[in-house]
Amino acid sequence: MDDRQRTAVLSTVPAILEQQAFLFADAVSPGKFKAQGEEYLAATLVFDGPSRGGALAAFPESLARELAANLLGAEPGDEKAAKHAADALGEFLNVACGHLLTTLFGTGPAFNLGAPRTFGFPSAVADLLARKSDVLAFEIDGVPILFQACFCAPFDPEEVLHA
Amino acid sequence: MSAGYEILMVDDSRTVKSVITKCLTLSGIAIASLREAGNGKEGLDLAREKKPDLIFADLNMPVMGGLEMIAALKDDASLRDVPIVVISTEGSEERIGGLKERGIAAFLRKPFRPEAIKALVAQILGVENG
Repeated sequence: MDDRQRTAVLSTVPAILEQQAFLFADAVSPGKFKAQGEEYLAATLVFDGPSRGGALAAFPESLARELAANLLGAEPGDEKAAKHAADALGEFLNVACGHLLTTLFGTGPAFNLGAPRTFGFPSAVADLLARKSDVLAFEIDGVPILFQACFCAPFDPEEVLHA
Repeated sequence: MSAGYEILMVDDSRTVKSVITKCLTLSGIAIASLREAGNGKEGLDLAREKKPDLIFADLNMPVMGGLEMIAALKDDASLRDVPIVVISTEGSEERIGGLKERGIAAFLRKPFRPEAIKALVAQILGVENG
């Protein structure tokens, strides 16, 4: 990830979280990232067009439920929020990725975004993921999340699981 | 329309469909039914089964995407007049322009504000937006 791409991710991710779900994210140094001690939920997607690659968003499960609750206008403890947590994370990634591509490439070229896929992994894997050069870390009310943007193909969205 | 409007939502995200449902439910607009499809093929099947008054459509979906579904709807003489609101993260002006040329009623880029759904539906269906 070059500086321009990094700057775009650092501005796009907090903006979409705020607009879409009223969540406020602050960038933190990936070197200082320490995963919250619970299972993480990740959404990934691949895209192609003038550039090919993929993106991943990883949230602690409790925060993914909060994301879903905010999108749905429900309480984080609601059964509906738990049921929609993975889907809501995928939807956030889809929107963030679409805006990230527009920020980087403008409104001229058309990109095709694949359907988001979701899976879970232990917090220790999140700590490993944070070490990758194309991964940026944020905090939402002190809760650490990760966002990976890869402008290279092939992008293996589940590479993190093989780490 | 006393019985209310027939709305069809075509999106692979259950969350987006839930948000649209909530927006419409709270809008006060009379809704007779809110049917859901997870991809363009399902959407096309449901539209052919019972003609909706309005369709919300995503673009990026598995099996059949929104572009293909919209083309099929516009090629179908019995369905081509159904207003279609595309709700998508799409940012390409060329692609959005192509959708407008195809005759969609409106394009709403995600993330959207709930009020935008209500205002669009009221405008397209010609009901009062209170």
